[in-house]
Amino acid sequence: MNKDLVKLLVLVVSFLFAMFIIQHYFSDKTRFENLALNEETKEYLPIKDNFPIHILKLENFNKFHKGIINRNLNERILFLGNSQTHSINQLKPGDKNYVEYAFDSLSKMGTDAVCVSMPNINLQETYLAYKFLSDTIGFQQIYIPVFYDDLREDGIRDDGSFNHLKEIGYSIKLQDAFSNKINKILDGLKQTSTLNQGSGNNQDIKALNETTQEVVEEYFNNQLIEHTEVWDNRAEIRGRLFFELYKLRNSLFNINAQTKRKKIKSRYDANILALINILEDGQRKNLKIILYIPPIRKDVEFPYVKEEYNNFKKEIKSLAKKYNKVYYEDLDSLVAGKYWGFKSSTTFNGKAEYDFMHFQNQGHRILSDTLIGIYHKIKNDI
Amino acid sequence: MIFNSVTFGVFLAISVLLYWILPNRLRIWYVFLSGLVFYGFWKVEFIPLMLFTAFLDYFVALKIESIDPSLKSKRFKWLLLSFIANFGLLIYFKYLLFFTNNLNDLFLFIGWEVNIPLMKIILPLGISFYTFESVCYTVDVYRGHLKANKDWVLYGSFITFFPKLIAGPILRASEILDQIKTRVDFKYSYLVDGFIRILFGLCLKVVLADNISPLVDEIYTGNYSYYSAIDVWTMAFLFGFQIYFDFAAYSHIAIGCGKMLGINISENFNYPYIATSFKDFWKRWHISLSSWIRDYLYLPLTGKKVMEKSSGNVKDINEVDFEVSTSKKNRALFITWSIMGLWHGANWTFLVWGLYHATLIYFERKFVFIRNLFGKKYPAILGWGVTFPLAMLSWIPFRAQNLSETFSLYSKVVNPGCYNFISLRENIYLITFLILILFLFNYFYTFKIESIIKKYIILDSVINIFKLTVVIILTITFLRPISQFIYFQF
Repeated sequence: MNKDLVKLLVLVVSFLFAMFIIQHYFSDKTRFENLALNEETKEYLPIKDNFPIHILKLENFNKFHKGIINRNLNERILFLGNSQTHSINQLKPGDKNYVEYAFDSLSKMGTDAVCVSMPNINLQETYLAYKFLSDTIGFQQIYIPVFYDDLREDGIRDDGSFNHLKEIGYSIKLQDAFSNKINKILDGLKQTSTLNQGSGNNQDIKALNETTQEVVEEYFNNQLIEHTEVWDNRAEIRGRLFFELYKLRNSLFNINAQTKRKKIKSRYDANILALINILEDGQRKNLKIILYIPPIRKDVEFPYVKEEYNNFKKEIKSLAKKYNKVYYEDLDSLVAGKYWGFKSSTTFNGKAEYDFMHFQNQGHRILSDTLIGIYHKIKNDI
Repeated sequence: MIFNSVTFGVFLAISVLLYWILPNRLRIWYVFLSGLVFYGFWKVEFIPLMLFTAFLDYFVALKIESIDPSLKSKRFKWLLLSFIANFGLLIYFKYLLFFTNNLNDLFLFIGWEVNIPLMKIILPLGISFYTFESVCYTVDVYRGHLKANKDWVLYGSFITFFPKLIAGPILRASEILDQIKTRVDFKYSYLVDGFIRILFGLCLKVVLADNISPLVDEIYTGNYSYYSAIDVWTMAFLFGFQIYFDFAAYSHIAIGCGKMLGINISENFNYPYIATSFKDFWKRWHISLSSWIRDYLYLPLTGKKVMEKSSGNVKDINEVDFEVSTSKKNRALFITWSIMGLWHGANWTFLVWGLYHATLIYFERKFVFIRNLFGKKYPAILGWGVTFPLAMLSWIPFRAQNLSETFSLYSKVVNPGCYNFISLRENIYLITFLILILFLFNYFYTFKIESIIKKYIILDSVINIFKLTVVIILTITFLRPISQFIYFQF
């Protein structure tokens, strides 16, 4: 057979196979972010009277803010958090997260309880979120769970989470080195358009910023999204591919939810510095800041090096002592094992794994009651 | 226009179609104008600059040729005009800010209260590449290696030829003018081979280079004071792979585009990380630049006349004995590499990068007697074992922001006490190692196994179908212009 004809046939057959595989294997539109959670662990963001009291990242901030203004309660408290805050394991009708429980209880007493959370938020991101929120909205108490796990993260994510800050041209007004560094990072983040945010398309063409090609590429992208299913689905397909690679890594190296996560010193120190900046700013503003070690599943071997984890708790406690109106609570044993759940396997063996981060409705209830107790305890502290 | 985009796909389809169906003259016009459109998708306002460079040298070459060869100084004056205009523009756009910053730092250092204002200058895309191409044309005409072209559209199409316009390969007029002038007979294998080459190039870029990039950014913007020597080696290897995949991808796509038009563009990379010496490395990495530097800078600096008409492919030059003193050779070596380093960017770190390579080549020359002792029995693995890690380590100044970072990182490599801990995320070491294995496997497969498989058509076809299917899936999934090619900044 003619060699050139063979090459052409190979190309055509490959193309057909590729389209078939993309169409059929990756056609499930499950959000890949939820693949890392158990399919029983669902995102939960409470809304009251059509206004969100808990927002993910800073999405929908304007409505969130409007709700606070409308409610016009005497006092305001802010919860910051990670996916533990906005997820409920084995979500059933009627379940709530601790933010909503706290809101329901405290609002009757004239206190507004609201929340902003982000998956795996590190303390540098917490600093940025805290600065923006405390500068924009007056709070009297701020609750910051210090997740040891998230001290392994670094920097400010560039996935549109802080898009609102880019849109309004926000920058931290302080002149210290740390704030300047955060402002510089914030400047460097790409601003994504609010259009097509679900498909993430504008992030997809950020290299074309301020060129003629940007407009043309946007047009072609939109046409492809409109006329083909595959093009719109590519972000999800990428997520799935990375998740499969993640599972492969875990399978090969026997990594699971209980594998020990070691401290990454440079990141840990950068996050502690961010926390110090939060506390110093809180002091200047005369805020009450509650630092707490969040609940973690403790009825099984947990995924941290014990010595490192205990040293971390001591460090947070001693930091809290250095500042006025900073309160420390160790709540890591608060939620009993039976209120935790499992998550989908992160290996190819399919075995569900212990979820050390996300608990069920009862866990949220217990946490809410504890935090409300803390609120009342410190409310009258001068 | 950026290759990794839907717009380019549409542009390429139209260009290929028109290239093959238009009559000859219109086709040449199309090649010329399509390059302007391609460039204009970035910034239209810089097209006149590129055209000025092109047509200045077009007229200079005609002028040089019209002067009697015996009137060397008169011919040289015109050549000098080309140098001043071309390099003057390059210096203005690329180095003025750098010089100004350094002058201001110097004034501050000596206590003068002078502060030269900094101008906001945008670096025109591709200027380093098309400037070199245009200058080498006038030099070739001056040397008598090439006749001056009398067709300005044809000459313009050489400069604006879109596949290589922004990031090379750096083509010689002698390589390309005749190919544009006379279209070959159409074969659909041109389309197939070219398209497959483009696919592989896109895969390298959007799947590998673009996904390595955030990891590289993460570690290069981290706090270096925490890093160990192992972290520095990891940084070097990871960026070394990123830049190779990124730049090789561009070359693959450029060559593939040329192939679809029936035009042969020389290879620009030949598995550089398999080199067994630094001399060998520079015959494999950015071949079009290293051969240009050799023919237009290094050899003239040694005083040697360039007698050969090189097509840009390093193999074509006969490396005869140099009747040049060692000191002259070494001087030429260090000057050439300093310029080569600074060509890559306006930062002292690039100078360090260039001098790093020059130093290694210098020592290779000095210790060549060791290799000669072995003769043909010299174990290639030994040469590779030394060259590969040192080549990777050279990327540190290439990526670091400043000299202080560069030397801080290098100091860890030579400090034995920095080898007993690690500070990066575990995934980074794993990914770097996996890429290394993948790279070595690919080389082994291509050079040891593929030739055996090719004897069996069905097996070869099945494997190719598998490879292509994976490449197509990944390319479609990851195709998006989220980052430019690294060499765009040069």
